[in-house]
Amino acid sequence: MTCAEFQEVLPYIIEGGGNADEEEHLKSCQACSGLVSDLKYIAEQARSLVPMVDPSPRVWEGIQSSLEREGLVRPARGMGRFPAPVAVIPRRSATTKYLAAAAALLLVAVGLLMYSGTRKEAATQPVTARSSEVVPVVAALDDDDQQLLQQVADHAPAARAAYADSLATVNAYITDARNAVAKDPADHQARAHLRSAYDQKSMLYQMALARSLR
Amino acid sequence: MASTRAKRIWLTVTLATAVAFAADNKKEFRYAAAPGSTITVVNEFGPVTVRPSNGRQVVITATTHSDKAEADVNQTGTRIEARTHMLAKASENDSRVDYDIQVPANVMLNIDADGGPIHVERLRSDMTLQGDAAEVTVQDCSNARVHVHTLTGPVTLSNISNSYVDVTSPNGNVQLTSVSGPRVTVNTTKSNIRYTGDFAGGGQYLLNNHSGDIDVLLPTTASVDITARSVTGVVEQDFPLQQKQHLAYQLTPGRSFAGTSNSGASSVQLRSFSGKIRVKKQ
Repeated sequence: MTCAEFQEVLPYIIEGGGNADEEEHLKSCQACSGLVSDLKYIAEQARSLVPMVDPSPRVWEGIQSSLEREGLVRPARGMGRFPAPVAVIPRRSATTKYLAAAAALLLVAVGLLMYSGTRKEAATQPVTARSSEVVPVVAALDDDDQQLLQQVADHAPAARAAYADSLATVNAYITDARNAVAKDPADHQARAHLRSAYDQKSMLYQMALARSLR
Repeated sequence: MASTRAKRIWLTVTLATAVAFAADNKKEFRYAAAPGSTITVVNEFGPVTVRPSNGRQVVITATTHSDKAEADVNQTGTRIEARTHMLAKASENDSRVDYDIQVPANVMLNIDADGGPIHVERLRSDMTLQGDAAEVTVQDCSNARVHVHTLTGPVTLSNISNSYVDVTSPNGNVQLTSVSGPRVTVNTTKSNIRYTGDFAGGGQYLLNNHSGDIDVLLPTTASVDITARSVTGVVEQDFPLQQKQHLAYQLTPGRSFAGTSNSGASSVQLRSFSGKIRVKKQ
């Protein structure tokens, strides 16, 4: 099993473990076992940010479909769960839980990108895309963004426009950076821009969550 | 003797002024701040100003402008919290609460003021200042940790020394004047970044954005190891630098440059995706 093959199935096996081939690769490959350790660390740190309340299955389905749209995972092999940067609290609304999970998802995405940027093996598959693959365009505002805006509008209607504008701006940054990475996966500058763009999007989600939890 | 008309005008003005001030209600809260105390302010509309106090006392003065908003201020152990609480639906003006806060210079500060403005001066704190559209100003601080997050609010930092600085604002312009420390990071998307100063202290400086411009003005006495790269934008250099001999990447004329000035003590990275980067002599 190659590292590229292992990392394709990683989201499904990270909690429950994989089959014999996958376990064997994990034991023998320093790069992939380092990646698994890093992701588990990120998940642990994210847990410590908030009290842990397990979100409803609908939340995980939402995360799954977001990742599929982004091209970070492929549909199915069963609904493996992500290492939970788990939900944010709100007993107040399922929407806020969903947004919190989306914010944690961004942390995991940043973690994946940071790790793939340090790998040196030419044969390994970059997490984001091969140069020949089509990079899914980050929509001006996707479903997660629309939910976030609705949450903001519910609590502070006057703030919606500012969040919408900022989200569109940051999404454009993400699109440009992803295209640059797709064109040349070894371009460290492009990867650095992609990380910065995701950091800013994560900040937007956190600020919106803070508003809705007041 | 004043005419009747003049007296009537004067009476009208006096009454109008009295009515306006009658709506303002100022309250003062005083607490003793033990070492390690945290001050948190959450305020949707209205300015928040923070200055150093004498001794270890925290003084919070909250001024409301209507009876529809109140300031809930309390202390629990080392946590002091001031939170604006709406008593009824109100306009922005009626919702406004002005906070004037005096704190010991080294308390931890969390300000969340969406409308702002937020103004902090002369502290040595770990401070997180956040607001959607808040104009944020931080000045004359040293040995501090300054974290600023806005969406569209402009950020101005001046005279900050020996501090860790981290500013993120997708759409708010960021201006830094004489800001130095072990690590200074500014991250914007569309908005511009302007730095004036000498990048002192042998620190690591990163100014990064997507499509905004990055303008740097520095004196020839600055000791910097500077790299400027724009993926699709333009890079202009009007500052004497010694070329670096060994680089891990290729420089594209007009899109990047790298060099050192004096001993190259501080690392300065200027990074834009499609914006313009300009480096000039101060």
